[in-house]
Amino acid sequence: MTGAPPPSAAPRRGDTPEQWLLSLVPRPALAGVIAWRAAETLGLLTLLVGLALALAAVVGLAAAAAPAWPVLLGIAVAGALLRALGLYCGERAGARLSSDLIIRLRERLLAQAVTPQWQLQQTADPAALTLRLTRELETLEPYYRRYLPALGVALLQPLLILVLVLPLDWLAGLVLLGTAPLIPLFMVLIGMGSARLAEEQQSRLARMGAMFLDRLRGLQTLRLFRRTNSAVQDISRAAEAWRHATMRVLRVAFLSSAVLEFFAAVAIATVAIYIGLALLGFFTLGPAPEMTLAAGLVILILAPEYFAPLRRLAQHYHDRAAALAAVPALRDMAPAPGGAPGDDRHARPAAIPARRPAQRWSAPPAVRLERVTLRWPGARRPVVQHLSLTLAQGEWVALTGPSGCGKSTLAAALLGWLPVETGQIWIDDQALDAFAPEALAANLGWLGQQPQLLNAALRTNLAPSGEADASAIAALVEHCGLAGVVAALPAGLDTRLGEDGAGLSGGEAQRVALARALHRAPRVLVLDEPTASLDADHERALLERLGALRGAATIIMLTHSETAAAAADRRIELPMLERRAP
Amino acid sequence: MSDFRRLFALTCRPQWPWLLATVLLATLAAGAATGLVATAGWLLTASAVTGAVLAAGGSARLEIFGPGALIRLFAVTRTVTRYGERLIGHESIFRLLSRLRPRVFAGLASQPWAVIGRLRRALVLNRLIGDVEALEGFPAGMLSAALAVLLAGGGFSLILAWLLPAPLAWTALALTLMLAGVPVLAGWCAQPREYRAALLRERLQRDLLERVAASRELVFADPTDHRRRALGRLDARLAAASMARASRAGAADAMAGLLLHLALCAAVVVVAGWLAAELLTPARAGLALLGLLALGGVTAGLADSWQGLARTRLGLRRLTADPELIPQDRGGCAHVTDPTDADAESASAADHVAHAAMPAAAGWCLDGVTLRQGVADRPVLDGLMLDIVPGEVLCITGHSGCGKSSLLSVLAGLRRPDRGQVLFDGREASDWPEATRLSRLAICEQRTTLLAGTLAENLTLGVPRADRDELQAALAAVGLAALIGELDTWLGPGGRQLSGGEARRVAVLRAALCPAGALLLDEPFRGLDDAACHALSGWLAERWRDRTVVIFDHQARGGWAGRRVLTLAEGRL
Repeated sequence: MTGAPPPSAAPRRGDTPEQWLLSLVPRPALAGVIAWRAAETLGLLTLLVGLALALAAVVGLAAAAAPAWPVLLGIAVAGALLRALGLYCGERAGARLSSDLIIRLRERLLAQAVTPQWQLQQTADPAALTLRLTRELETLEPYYRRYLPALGVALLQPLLILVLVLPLDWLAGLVLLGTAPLIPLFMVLIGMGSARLAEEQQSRLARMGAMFLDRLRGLQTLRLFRRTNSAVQDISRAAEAWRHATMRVLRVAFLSSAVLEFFAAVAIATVAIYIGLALLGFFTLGPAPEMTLAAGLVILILAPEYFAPLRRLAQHYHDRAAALAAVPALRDMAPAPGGAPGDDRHARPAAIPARRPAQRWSAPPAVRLERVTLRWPGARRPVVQHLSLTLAQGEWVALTGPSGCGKSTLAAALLGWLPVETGQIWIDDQALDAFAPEALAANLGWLGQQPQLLNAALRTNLAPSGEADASAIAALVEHCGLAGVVAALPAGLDTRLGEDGAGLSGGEAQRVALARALHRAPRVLVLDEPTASLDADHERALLERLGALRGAATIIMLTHSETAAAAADRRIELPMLERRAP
Repeated sequence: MSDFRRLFALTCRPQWPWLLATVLLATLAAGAATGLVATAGWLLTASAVTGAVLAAGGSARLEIFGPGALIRLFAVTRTVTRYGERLIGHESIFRLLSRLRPRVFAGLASQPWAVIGRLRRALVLNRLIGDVEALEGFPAGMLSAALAVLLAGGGFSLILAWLLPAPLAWTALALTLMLAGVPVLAGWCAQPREYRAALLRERLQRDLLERVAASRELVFADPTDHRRRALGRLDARLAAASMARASRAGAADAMAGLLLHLALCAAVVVVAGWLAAELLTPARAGLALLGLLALGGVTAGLADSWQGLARTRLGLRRLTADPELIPQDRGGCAHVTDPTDADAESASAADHVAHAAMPAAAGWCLDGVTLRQGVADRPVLDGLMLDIVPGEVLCITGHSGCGKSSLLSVLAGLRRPDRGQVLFDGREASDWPEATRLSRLAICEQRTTLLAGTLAENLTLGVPRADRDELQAALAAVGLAALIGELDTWLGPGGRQLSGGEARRVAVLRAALCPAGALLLDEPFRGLDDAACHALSGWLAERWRDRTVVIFDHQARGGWAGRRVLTLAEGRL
């Protein structure tokens, strides 16, 4: 399986959701699953035919030229064993196929989801993205594990049964054959309706999930405003809406299997009564007079199995609908095809190779903005227009301006996350967008307004790259004013911080984030309100620390603080663009 | 076993009519499927025997219209009951779900303040949804499916006992028990491994969320992506666990099928003997054997769903653990019936009445208040003495981590000091019922938390009946004139994202619009420039004239005539 060339073309945006899902399947693995399922089918048919013939023989009406009934039973036992083996191995192979595929896809989607450029284009928050990477992605699993193998069996088993039944009695065979084509027709008709409904349900589910998460996030706020009761009602209403939406889907979706049930039951009943009448000699048309008990029992015992795979397929039909509904969101997340060379989509998942860190620049670069216009994704008007400024190598510049003048937008552009609309950002005479992402990652540093701490030891939070040794971390702790914090924590640097940096105050969390931004000694440092939550002492300490970087890093500091602005080498006031068109 | 008692109480009792209907319909469907094939087997064998007699020139009679009608009845019953079973089964799942979720939230909402603070929020959602879903799957997916196999098989055994020699009926009963028992037993035995896999899945979700949320920082702080590789390894372990689960379910399915088929082959041998001894008619033999074969078909999917047993119990234990997240269900009311919240409702109604006449300003008297924080060694508040006179404007400054937010919690009565006394309006703060106390206070927390909802809904959180002119005037006064036309715009995911400064001002407005006796603001001017800061504090001074305002900030920002400034340091003022 490894190293096999991708058998299908790279998925294109224009593919239908189903084509996209199928393009992800490694064909050899799928063939393996189908082979085991075929073995299961063969075993089952052997068992059933053996049993039917043995029963006829036992009753004393053995088929002509049939072996003795103990031999027939022996054949049946062999069939039962083959079926059990095929079933077990088929389940395993199906599970392997689907879990390999999910793991591979999750890795690809995660690689995209953690890209800041991509995140800026999204309105989805991290929790929604995580839900997409877990719950929504996992809706594909039953499609591959259950639906696709069931589809294979649904094609194979009725065909084999027809091959067995037609020579025995072509009229009974015709009854089975006649009911079968109607089934896919009805299923397609009903399936089309339910796929559309399921899409609506997915968005409702997402909204409901967001509502639940949102109210939980705001639980303290809701409690302060004494509104937990109304939040309970909000959640209750969302859940009820979900129930109505889902039941509407299911009422239609289950109709497809009801139609199938109906045809199957009618066909079995018709065949049974026909065989009974033929055996009694009451029915003499066509092949009926030649009907024997052995043939009749074989046909009767096989008839339910003719429809059973179709029924299982219908039961897994909503696996398919759910998977198809999840495709658009997932496909939007999937990176454009043909991106990374050697991206073998079908290879078995292996450990993610370590990305090679790019070279660190030998000196801090000059940064030049040339008539830069920036627009937030989806915004109607630009927030920054024709902005030009130049930072010398290693210079520390404070950019100030009123709230909403585009400071955070400018930071995103400087970090290469937001493409400039017009104009250009130059780093040492090379355009910012001409740099490899690895080169930027290795040389830039960033500290935002709301630090995101990791649910890991403080040490890991300070140096997630694992590059800093003990003495470097000790120096960082000292420089960023964290010595008191480390001393106060029960296990010092090894104390595990909870989500949201539980236990630390806002200012302490900000200092941890600063230390993290500094631990790899970036050559360009972009700071967005670094001192917003610091008191005067800590602000002064931080500014001293930044001052010590003078010459080692070019620092762009977006700030409101007068003290911070005064500490920088130079201060530039950003103009405020009028937000509303007159 | 107490797990199962609680499971029944929680998931089965509230919708037992729906569940009963599901079980009945599922039993009928399984019975009809079995009956259809069994009757057909009887008809065929009887017809063949009769036909052979007729062909040999003998005389025989066979009533075939009765069985024919029975076959058609079974055929229609199977169709209708299967459709009904699936619909009713899902309806009961969703009814259970829309009942459980608000209850879980309500239970969470009435936890002590400290518990809410400790709960790791993004995880709570994933876990809660997972736990609730695991519970929701139990009645319809696991319990009623197994019961239907047992009941249908039991009924079939009874019919066999009536028609055939006893050993065959016993065999049928044993096979029924086996068909239902093997999947359940497989699920039972898999519990330890499934339990570990469930925890592994949660860890993956937690780490994924964290990796996505911190991605902007980690681009630079972790360029070689250590954290993501660790995630890949975790995912591989999880995949191995789900492989093992599928293997177990497949083995249980294959085993149950194999046992059934081998038993059938053995039954043919026995039946051959009985036929020879004329203990049995051929037609009844056909009925028994084909019926047993059909019974094997009704267990599909049972093994797979019973593999989820461990997950269900894990969810149950967590939801009903201490602190109990699911409160007692009182009289079928889905929302909180907590007396404090009832108070809150009446209190906010009272607020509305009292709105015209401004509420009296609130005051505090703190004496020797000492408060220890979890991680810090020295107390954050250390024998603190403070009098807050009703109607005064107090600004408490101090460096980050000096305990400003803790002091706010103490003033609001959300944290009880380790030592010392906090008098709020002349009465021990913790003696006030929470709803009454909070109705006297308007609080803006340090962290800006806006809810998914419209801007107007966010602004009126504390005053549900505020009029729009008032909101618009307030927005204009604090420099948010751009938002005046957007009162009905949806904020949050899928809606408008406010900038940091806008969101902060909305949060402050939301608190300041409350008709309370005191306003507690934690870093209200965070992220605002001086002009915005002055506009906001000017509006606050006007709006909160003669009422108590306590501002916690790094330094006294925004001009405010007549305010008192105190500095908090080393746990004292």
